[in-house]
Amino acid sequence: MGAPWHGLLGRTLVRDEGFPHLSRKAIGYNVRRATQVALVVVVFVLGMAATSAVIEGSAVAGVETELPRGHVLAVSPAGFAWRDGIRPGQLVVALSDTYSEGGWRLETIDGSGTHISREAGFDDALRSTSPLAILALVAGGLGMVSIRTHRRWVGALAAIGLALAAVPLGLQGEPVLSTAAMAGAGFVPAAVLANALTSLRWRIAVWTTIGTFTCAWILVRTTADPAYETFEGIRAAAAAYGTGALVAATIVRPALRGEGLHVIRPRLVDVVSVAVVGGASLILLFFLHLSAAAVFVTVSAALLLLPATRYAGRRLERAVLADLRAQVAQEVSEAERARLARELHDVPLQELSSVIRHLDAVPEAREEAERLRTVATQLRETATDLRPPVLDDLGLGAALDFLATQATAEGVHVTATVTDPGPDPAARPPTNVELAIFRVAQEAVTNALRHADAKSVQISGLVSRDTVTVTVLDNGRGLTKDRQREAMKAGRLGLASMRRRAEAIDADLTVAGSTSGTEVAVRWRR
Amino acid sequence: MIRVAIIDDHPLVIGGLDRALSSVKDIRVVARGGTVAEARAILARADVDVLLLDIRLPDGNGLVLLSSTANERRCPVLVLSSFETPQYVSTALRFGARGFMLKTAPLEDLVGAIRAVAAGGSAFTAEQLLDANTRSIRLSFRERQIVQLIVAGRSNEEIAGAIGSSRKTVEAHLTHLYGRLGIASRVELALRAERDGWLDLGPSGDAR
Repeated sequence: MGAPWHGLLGRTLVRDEGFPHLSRKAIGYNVRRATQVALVVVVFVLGMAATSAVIEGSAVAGVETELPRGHVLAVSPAGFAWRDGIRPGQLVVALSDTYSEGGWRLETIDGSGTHISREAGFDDALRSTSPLAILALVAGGLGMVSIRTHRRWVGALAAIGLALAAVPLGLQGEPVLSTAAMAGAGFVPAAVLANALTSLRWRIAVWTTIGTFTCAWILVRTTADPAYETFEGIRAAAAAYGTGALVAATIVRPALRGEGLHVIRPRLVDVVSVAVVGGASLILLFFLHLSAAAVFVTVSAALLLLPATRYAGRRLERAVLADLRAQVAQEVSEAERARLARELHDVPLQELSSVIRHLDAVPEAREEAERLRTVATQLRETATDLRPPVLDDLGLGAALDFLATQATAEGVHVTATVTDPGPDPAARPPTNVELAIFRVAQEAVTNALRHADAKSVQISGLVSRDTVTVTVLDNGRGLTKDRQREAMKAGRLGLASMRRRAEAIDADLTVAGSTSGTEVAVRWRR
Repeated sequence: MIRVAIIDDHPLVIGGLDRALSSVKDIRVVARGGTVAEARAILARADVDVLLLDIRLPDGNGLVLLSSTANERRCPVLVLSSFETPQYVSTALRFGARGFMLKTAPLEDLVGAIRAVAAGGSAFTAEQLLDANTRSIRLSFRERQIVQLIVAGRSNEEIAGAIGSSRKTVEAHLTHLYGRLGIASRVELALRAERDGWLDLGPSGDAR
């Protein structure tokens, strides 16, 4: 048939070229978010399964024997009989079932002596872990709420939930759920911690290592390999230390450093839906005694996925297409502005200054030299409008100061109070962070002056290599929630653009308004 | 004879300056370069009277070079820039430059500035110095720490102990702050810090 593709196109497209909205950054952001959502849903479900297990309170032995007498055929390391030393091949001496006096009991004999396994103690132990199961459920719920408010906590909460849920599920001994919870408790904290590594090569290396180990652990567990004890020891240690390290890194350390926890009020709808699903499931358990964990998991997963799919469907067009397109447009325009500003600086301005030098030597050309100086001033202003040179040369602190002086020149009282690390790029936050936060502040000041009729605006900033906090406070007509919503709908005030800028660098943005003014705060942490 | 060195990464600019300055009889251009590394080498030379230093260079930033050599012996520096805003001037001032000029400034102004700097003076204009004191407060982390301790009512001796440096250093920081912010005493400093909320943002006490 017709001409081949390369004939039509003349060349091969390089990656990203044809589909800028499918940039690595955009995909990475969505993949990260989707993974977090999936993770907390799983943790929440496992938390409910654990709650169901402790309410039911009957542990699984995991033993298969020749009936009525004979040898032990198979023992699963998931069940409690394994912990009592029951192994395949041992000879059954006595076996009584759950409904007999004293409950399920197995006595076996082999070369090393007799082994006895009893159900009663394990049932009590399982019931006594109910606080852990409920805490796991709470951790999963908090994790789901945090997706929309404080994403840095999601990994830590999921790890805590898994570690807690693994205890009752492990005691109960139902093979699939206990294996899932225990494997997750070992894998997730290390995987999330590895995600913080800057080098992709290292990240992949760590992921591969822990992934391989987890697969090996699952294999050893399902095949009841004698080496299971060793593997389980390593997994338990990885789970305990990994969760500890993750909680320390994402919750404790920032708190100790006095950085504040930056808790944002969660959306009412999130809290209500999580509470309703959790509460309803617990009621079902208590009054209907739904015993089959598998049925329970299916129901709760369906319940959880229902709003998620509706939400995803609604967002698909708006978020994935419109939002990404806007973000890409912003990035492209920002890159173009930077290129133009640099070009203006590097070529015409330098050339002009050398021409002016030449004309200075010619006394008759004074007027021309003067006129060229005016042209240079205009070029400088254009370059500054495109992208303030102060931002690149001196850093965010100086740029906020510049923003204040510039706005003050327009006749309003704008002040900046900034603590910053000076112009050395090694001590400053990354360039894209400086730019994004500068643009948010610029937008906020513009709003204050143009739309809120503010008489005074106060910019405060605390800038260091690893954290940036900037607030813009004005005394104009405040941006109350109603007015924000109205403005968002009408596409005014650049609220959406501020949000996109903050999202692009993973920063938290809050806009708070009352009748006496508006405060825009943006916080970033490396 | 005033010995001048030029650092600029645009050959056109160096050429123009070179020609213009060589027509002045008491000035001789003795060194030229286009990188921060070359500028660093020239700063250490004793046989250069004035260094004309550009800000944007291919391997770094002239002002960062000044900040990192602020405590070393170096030849006097006149910053020649493509842009001029109060922030540039105050940064140059802070890191010990003797003057700040636009590349497009008239030759006689430039020559006047070179002569002033070579004679051991300063070439900042009164207008520049006035503008450099924007109403904004910009502190380094060390300065912020000192202000915090002053608000807490500590003496210079105690502040020196708390931040692990000498009393002399603390006094030098304070003198510098007073001069920059037009303040006369530590009481005034503490009052203004409180009133204008210099310390409102983290690390102690979140942004509220």
